[in-house]
Amino acid sequence: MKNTPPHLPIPGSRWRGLTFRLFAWVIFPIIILLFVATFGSFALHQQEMRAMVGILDERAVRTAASAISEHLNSRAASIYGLSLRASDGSPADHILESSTALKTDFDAGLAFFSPGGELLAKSHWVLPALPPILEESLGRASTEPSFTSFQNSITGEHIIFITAAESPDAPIVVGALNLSTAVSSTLNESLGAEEQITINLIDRDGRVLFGAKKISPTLIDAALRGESGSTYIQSEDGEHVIAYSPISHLDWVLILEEPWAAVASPTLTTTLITPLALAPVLLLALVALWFGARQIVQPLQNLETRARTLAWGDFYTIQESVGGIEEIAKLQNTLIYLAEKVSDAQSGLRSYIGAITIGQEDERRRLARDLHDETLQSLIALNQRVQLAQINNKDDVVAERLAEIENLTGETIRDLRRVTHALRPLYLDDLGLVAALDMLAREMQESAAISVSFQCLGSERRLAPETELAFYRMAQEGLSNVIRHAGAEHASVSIAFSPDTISLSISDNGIGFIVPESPAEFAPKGHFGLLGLYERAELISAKLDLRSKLHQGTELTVTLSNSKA
Amino acid sequence: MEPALPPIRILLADDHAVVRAGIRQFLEQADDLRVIAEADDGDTAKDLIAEHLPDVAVLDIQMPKATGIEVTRWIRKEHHAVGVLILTAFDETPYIMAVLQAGANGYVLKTASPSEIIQAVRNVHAGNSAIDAAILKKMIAEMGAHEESQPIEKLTRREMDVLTLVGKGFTNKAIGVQLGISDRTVQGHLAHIFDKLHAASRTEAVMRAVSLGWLPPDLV
Repeated sequence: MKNTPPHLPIPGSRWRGLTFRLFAWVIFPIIILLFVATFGSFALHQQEMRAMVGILDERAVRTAASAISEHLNSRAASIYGLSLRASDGSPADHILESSTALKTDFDAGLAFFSPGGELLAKSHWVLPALPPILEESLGRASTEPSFTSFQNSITGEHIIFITAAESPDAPIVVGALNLSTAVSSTLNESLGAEEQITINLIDRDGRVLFGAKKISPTLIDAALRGESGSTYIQSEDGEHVIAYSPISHLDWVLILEEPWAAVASPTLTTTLITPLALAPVLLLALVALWFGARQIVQPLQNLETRARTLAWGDFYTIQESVGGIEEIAKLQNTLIYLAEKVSDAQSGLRSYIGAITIGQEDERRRLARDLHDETLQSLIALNQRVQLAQINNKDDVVAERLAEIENLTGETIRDLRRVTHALRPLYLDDLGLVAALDMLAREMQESAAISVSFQCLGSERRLAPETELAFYRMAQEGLSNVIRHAGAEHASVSIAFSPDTISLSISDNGIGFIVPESPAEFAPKGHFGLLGLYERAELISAKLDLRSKLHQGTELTVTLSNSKA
Repeated sequence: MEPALPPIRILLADDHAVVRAGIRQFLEQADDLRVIAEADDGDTAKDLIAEHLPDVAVLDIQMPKATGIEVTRWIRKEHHAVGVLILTAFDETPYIMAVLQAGANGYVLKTASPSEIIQAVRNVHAGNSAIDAAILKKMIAEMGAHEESQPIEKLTRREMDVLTLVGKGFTNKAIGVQLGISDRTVQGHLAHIFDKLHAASRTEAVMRAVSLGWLPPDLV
C-alpha cells in the first residue's frame, strides 16, 4: 500500500545503460582507432619521406662532389700535359702562346717556374705576388698534380693552384683558377638552380671555401673519413636536411643543406590537419548517442520506474506516457494491458478473499455467540441446579457426587469460555475497539515474556463491525509477529482517533528486519504474517506502513481515512 | 442484618429463563432478600425499575433491546438510589471495566455460589462495592503487571479520601457533599489521581490503589 516504491539500485546498473555501452564499446573505440590509424600512417609517411629526402640529397651531393672532382681532375690533366711539353724543352713562352684555349679554364692565370722557384713565364696572372703557400707547394711539385687553395686577402676569393712537374729538374707548371667560378658552374650543372639549397665547400681544416654557412665539425670529420650521408638538424628557422660527401683526391667536403619545409610540399603539411576530418564523425556519433538517450534510454527508464509501482498496487502511474520511439510505446501498451489484467484478477481475488474472510469471521462470531448464549447458559443453569441440590442435601455420599459434578461443570464452563474467547472476543462487538485492544495488550503480555503497553489517543468512535474486527485482527497478528520474531522486550499498541483518520500502530524494540520492497515479496520471503496484515488492510482500504531497521525495532502503522471508515 | 428490617427488594433481569429461575432460587435462600420483579430484556428491566424502584437491580450484561451496561447507565442517571449488581457469565476484564465505569456497584459471576451472590446483593445494598473474589484477583494481577515500568507517585491525604469514596461507588457530586467541596474540585482531584496512578478510569484507579496496598481489598 506504500505509494512510493523505493528506488532500488541493481548492482552495476550504472555501467549497463545503453548510452554508456554504446559509448564504451562502439564510439570510443572507433575514435581511438581512427586517431591511431591517422596519426600512425601520417608519422610513418613522414618518416619514409625524410629518409627518402635524405637519400636523394646525399645522392645529389655525391654527384656534385664527383662532378667537382672530375672537373678539377680534367684541369689537372691539362696542367700535366703542359708539364710534359715543358720537360721536352719547349720554351715556356711558346707553350703559353699555343695554349690560349686554356685561358678560360684557368681564369686566374697560368705560370711556369723553374725548379728553383724562379718565374719563367706567366699568362694573365691575376695575383700581384706569389703567395707563400704556392712557394711551399712548388717545392713539393711532382708528376702527380697537386692542389693548393689560397684565399685572396684583398678580394676574399679562393683561388686553387694546380701544380705539376714532369721531373724534379723540369719546369713546374702552375694553373690558377677561381674556386667560385669553377665550383658554381659545376654545381649549376649537377644540382640545378634551387633557391633554398645552400652549398658549402669546406677544406680539411674546416675553412669554408665556398658558401658561408657554419657547419658542425663532426659532419666534416665524417665526410673527411670518406663517408657520405645525410642528417637532420634543428635550427632557429626550422628543421634542415643536411647531406654531405667528400670530394675524392681533395680533402674537401661538399655539404648541401636545405630547409625541411621546402622539401615537405604543402600537401604533406596539410595532411597534418587531416585528423580534423574526424570531427564530423565524432559529432555524428554524439548525435546518435543523444538520440539514443533521449528517445530510448530515458523513456525506458521512466517506464521501468512506473512498472515498479505496479508491485505496490498502483495501476494508474503506468498509464502516463513515457514518450520515446514507437517500440517503447508498444511495450508500454502491453504493460498497461497486463496491468489491467492483473488489476482485474487482483480485485477478483481480493473480493473473493474478502468474502471468505467475512464469511469465516461471521461464522466464528455466530459460533461464539451460540456457545455463550446457549451452551454456557445451560451449563450455568446446570451448575445452579447442582448448587441448589447441595443446599438441600443431607446425605454425605450424594454430597460427594454433587461436589464432583459441580467441579466438572465448573471446568467445562472455563473450557467453554476459553473456546469462545479464542473464536472471537465478544467484547469487541459489545464494548468496541479500544476496550478490545486494551485487553489484547494485557493478554499478550500475560502469555508472552514481554511487556505490552496500550494507549488510546483521541476519543473513540465506533466503526463498522468488520472494520473494528480488521483492526483487532491486525493488532493481534502484529503483536504475535513481535512475540514470535522480534526478540523484543517491549511492544506498544496505540490507536489514534483524529478527525480525519483512525490509525493503529504497533511498535517494538526488537531486532528489526529488512522490509521487502513490495508486498509481492512477502510470501516468497516467508513473511506470511505480513501478507495477512497487508491483505486485511487492503480489505478495508486502509494504508499499511512498515518501517524497520536492523537492531532498531519495527513499527507497523495502519491508517484508515474517515471517508472510508 | 436484623430481621426487623424490611427485606431488600430486588429486580432480576436475565434473558435466559432457566438461569434466571436459578438465580431467583439462590436469592430466595436468604430471608432478607425478595425478588419483586423479573425482566427478560433491557427495556422491560428499565420499565420495571421505574415502576417498582427496587433496592438492588441484579442485571445480566448480554440482554436483548438494552444491555446490562446501558441499563446501569440509565439507572445512574435516572434512579441513582438503586444499587446495581451485575451478574454475568463474562469473566473478561473489559466487561468488568465497562460495567464499573457505567456505575455498577458490584460484579459477580453466575458461577458463584448462592452465598456469594447473596452477600454481594447485601453489600451493594449497604453502599459498598461487591466484586467477585476470582475477578478481583485476576484484575489486580493485570494491573500489577503494568506497574514495573512506571513509577507511581504518592497521593495526598485529600486525594486518598476522594479515591476511597470513589471506590465505594459515589459520584463526584456525592463525594463533594461528603467532603464539603464542590464537584469541580473533586474532578480536579480525580484528574491528579488518574495522572499519578496512570489510570484511565475511576475503577482502574481504585484497582491500582488496591493492588498497591493503599486501599483495603474489601473496599471494592
